[in-house]
Amino acid sequence: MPEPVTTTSQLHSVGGVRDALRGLTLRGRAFVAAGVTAILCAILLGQSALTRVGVLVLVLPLVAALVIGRGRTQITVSRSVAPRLVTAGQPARVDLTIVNDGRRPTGALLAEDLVPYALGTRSRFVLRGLSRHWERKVSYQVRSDVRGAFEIGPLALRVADPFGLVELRRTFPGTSNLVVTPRTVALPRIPLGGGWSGTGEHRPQAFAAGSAEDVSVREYRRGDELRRVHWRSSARVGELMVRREEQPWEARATVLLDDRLRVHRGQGLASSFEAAVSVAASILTHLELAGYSVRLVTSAGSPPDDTDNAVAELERLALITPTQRPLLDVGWCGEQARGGLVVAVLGSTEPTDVPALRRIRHDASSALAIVIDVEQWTTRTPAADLPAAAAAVSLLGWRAVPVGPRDRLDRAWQDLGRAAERAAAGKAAIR
Amino acid sequence: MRTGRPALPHALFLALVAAATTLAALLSWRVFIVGKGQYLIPLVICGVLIAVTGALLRHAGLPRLVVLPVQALVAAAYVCGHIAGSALPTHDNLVAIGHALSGAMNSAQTYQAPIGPSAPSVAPLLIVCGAGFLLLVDLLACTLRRVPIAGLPLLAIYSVPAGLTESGPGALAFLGAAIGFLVLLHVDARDDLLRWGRPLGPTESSPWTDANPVADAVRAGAGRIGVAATALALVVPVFVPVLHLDVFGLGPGSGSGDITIHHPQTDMRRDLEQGEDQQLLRITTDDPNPDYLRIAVLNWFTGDEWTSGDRDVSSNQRADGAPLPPPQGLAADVPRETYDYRVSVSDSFNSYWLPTIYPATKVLSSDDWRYDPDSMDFISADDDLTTAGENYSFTAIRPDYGTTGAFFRDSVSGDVPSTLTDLPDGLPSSVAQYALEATNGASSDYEKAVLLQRWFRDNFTYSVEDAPQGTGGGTFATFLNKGPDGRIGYCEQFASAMAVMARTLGIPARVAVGFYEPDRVGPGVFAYSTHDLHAWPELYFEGAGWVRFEPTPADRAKTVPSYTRARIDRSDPATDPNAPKHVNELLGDTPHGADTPTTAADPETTTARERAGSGQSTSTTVMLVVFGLVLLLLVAAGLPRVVRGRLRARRLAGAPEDVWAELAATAVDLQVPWPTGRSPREIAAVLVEHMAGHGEALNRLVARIELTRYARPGSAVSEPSEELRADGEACVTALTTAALPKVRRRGAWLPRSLWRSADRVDDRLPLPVRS
Repeated sequence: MPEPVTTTSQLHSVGGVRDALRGLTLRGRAFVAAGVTAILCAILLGQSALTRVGVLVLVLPLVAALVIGRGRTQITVSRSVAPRLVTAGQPARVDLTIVNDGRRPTGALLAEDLVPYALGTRSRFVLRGLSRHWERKVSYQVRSDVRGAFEIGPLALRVADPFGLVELRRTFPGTSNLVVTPRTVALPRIPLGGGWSGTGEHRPQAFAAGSAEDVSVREYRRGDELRRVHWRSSARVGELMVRREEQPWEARATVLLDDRLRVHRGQGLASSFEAAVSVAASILTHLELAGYSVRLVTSAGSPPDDTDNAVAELERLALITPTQRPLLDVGWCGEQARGGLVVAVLGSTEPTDVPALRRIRHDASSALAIVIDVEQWTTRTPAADLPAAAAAVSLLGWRAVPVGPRDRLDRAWQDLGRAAERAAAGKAAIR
Repeated sequence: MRTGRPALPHALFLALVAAATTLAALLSWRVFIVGKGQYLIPLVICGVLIAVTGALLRHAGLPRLVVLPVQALVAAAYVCGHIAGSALPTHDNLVAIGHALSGAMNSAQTYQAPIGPSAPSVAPLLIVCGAGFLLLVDLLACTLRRVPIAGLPLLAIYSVPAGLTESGPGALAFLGAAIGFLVLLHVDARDDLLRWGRPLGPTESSPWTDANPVADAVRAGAGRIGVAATALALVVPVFVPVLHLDVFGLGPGSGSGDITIHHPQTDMRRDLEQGEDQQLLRITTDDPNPDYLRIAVLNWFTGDEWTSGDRDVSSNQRADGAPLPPPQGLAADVPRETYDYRVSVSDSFNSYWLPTIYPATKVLSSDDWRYDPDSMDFISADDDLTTAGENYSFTAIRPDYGTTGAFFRDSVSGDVPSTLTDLPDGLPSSVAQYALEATNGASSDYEKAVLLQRWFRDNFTYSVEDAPQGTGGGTFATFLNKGPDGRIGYCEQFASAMAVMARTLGIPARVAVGFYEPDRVGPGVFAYSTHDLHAWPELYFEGAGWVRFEPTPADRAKTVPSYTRARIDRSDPATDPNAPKHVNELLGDTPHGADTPTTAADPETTTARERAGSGQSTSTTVMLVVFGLVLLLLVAAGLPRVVRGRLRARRLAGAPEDVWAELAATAVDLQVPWPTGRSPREIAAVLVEHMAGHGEALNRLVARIELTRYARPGSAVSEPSEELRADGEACVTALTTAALPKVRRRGAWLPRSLWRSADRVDDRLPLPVRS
């Protein structure tokens, strides 16, 4: 987890008599008006007893403004959010440290952190009994059910007098960010196929399991250059072995999220796109836990600064929005990705997508597809049989399962595993 | 965070503070009554009852509609129990309360505050009103939680003595009420804060901070602010000059407007119309019912007006306490009573004539007042000497003429100087004719006088406002004739008319000017005020002397002297010449001294009449003022809307930037976010979400704005045009239609854009975060 980021902002002096006078509340202004009226009436009617009332009512807000305005405070606020990255539905804690280095303020300080509505109600604190060199830590929780990046802050500070007649407002400019990643589902382990090896054992081995010398050769495959043959190992094993120049033990997986607007249906949180994002995030997390080096690819391809960092990829998923691109970009599946595992999260497929999907299938050692049954997001009736899209993808040589709005992802994932087993069995039978 | 039911200690505290505040304000009512415990102690109990009941009911979570009636019931039961002796609202109890209240009302209307134990106690009235105020303040401050509004009933309590008594409410009541009100305000504001957010004390999880509102308030500076404001309120008014304009004529009798009587005949109407009832002089006397106090006598009728004529005041006719000559014409066998009077005149009453009661036997003043032996009125011998601030005493007799007219004999010529019987030439003939008609069938001067008085009282209407100007000449005829303006007048006209008509009948007559009925202000102390100014005729009879009559109708002078109540048998005066001529049966079952006007028997009605009489003079003014204020309020309420409408019309007819500004102002009015520092296109993107259609008009408008702003200078794109106006109007309408009705109403009547520009609105609008 990354360190909580602390935003600190300083505000010199909440106060000033002129500001305080400008900050008279409705009640304060009404008091001033009533007081002036009473005094005028008293003067005109010759009632000196009424003058007393008028002076009290007039002077009260003015004295309050004076006292509040004189109590200049020097306040520093720092805010930290931990964790900075949360899954939707998980809480994050916001810690506020409020320090007053100035004079003892009069009245109460009302602090309100302006939090986007998606994160829950605003957090409001009434700080009373402040003194010089006063420091308080307050914390509250935020929680969002939708993914996205949220700005927490700025902190609005009000100084209120004890009679509710004057109110000074200040806003601290500093904000903190909170990234809420899509909601994920824990997936069961299934045989995924692909990876780098063609043996029955599909689980990628951790790099640290043996020494690099031991494992830096692999068996010869068609197309390997002859100069890479490792003759000593070949002699020992009895088969042609080649040196690995790529990182052999790092099982690679690519999650492809089709984020084109045209292949999705529905709007906002209830759209098939959100479901696709959630599925992609679940798979990403699952593969990461399974030891793969995972990267996220969208219809635009992979970003230039591809870090293969699952956290970064989740963050991308948190912010992703549908694009208007007409076609899937397959520039990423070049030499580098050859032989890796590709899990695609697809919407509806169109004839124009067929070349791209075929190309991906060709380059990947194992190609799995979760096909979001987007029509169900509009028609609300589940298709009776395998949806056309999933069928079409299957025809292209992908292992595909459909997922509707009411289907459970872990079940679908298991189905995908079974399909993989069948495919492996079929392969074995052919072999 | 407190929501819903308040905690019991908190509710109890708030309710008790509210009750204590009200009681502190009610303390100012102690100026009304001698012995403040009479009303304060029951009210304290009542306040505690109301507070505790209210706190318990609110704590139990009962709806407001239940809380108030139960509190009212408890308060009513207690008040009933206190006044009537039993809390049950039986018929007898209710009657007893009614009696107590009407007695208190009478006392309040009759006597000047403070009202002592000699009069029926006003405590029941104070208790009932006080309990009502306790309920009201509790309702506003605790049940409805509108503490600032609860200040209004407190102000009402406080201003009652300010308006009605000279001393006004004391500083103590103000201090108590102010402190209580500030505590209520603070508690209210504090509750609001605690409801707003999570409270954090100076130290983590210290129950002390949350449970100790006093320490909390002190830390928050409530003490400093409250003490400073209250101290200023006590000190500053001393330096605030207070005008005594009496704009509404509503002030207490403590004004300083001077009443000047130089010429009694011309000043009276002005004094009567002045509206404000101002106390002019006080007398202390052993007379149980002092009445008509004479200032001056008008002897001489010029045909246009009555004047005081000449006075023969030689230096040996000083009011130095020496016995005065006996009253002219009064037979020695008339029974009489003698009373002593001590008079102190206020500084605001300037008269060259010294008020006395006729007939006086002795007048003692340290200043140079001299009397005329014929008219027996006292005039200042020194030009600088007026009655202002004067203190003097006199002794006067009250003859008891009985009710049969036994002492009244016709006067013979030569009894009185001819100036008292002379009539000017050119008097309308109708005067004598009316006099004859009115006294038709009377056999003696006495009967004529009684019938004349009756004629006036039965056929005329009293009104100062509608009275014709003047007393003589043409006015005289108008006054006597029937007609739209006829037979309406005020005391001076009645007095002069009766005097003139009496003279046409051969009865010597003159007009006296002075005060009618005083108000009793204490035991043996009476006060005459501006509204008591009056004029009446005095007629001369052999054996009775100068006798007062009262022709002014009952609207003003309720009663007539008892000796004028004789029943006159006018059907056939000739049939029974031997029967006692003016005979007569006693009219009126008055229990009072025969010659006492029966006014004291019913002070309530008398004062009510007086009030009605004086009220008429001010009611029109008050109506006008109220009407004007209402009009002013209406105009003030409608002004923002009108101004905004003008602005809108002007902007919509202007250049694209003006139309855009109008759109911004409309957004401000309707509280629609108007992001600042963005391009028109971005603003439009925000705005279109708050519009009911007309997106295309907005787009055209944005295009025009962009053209205006970014086109090459000199290109004619910023001209006003009809399409532009239509688009602007469409956008404004679309914005308005999409707003909630409440927001729309507010936008129409109180447009925020009048005092707030679009730049300042919603600076805090959070930037939309792309996800």
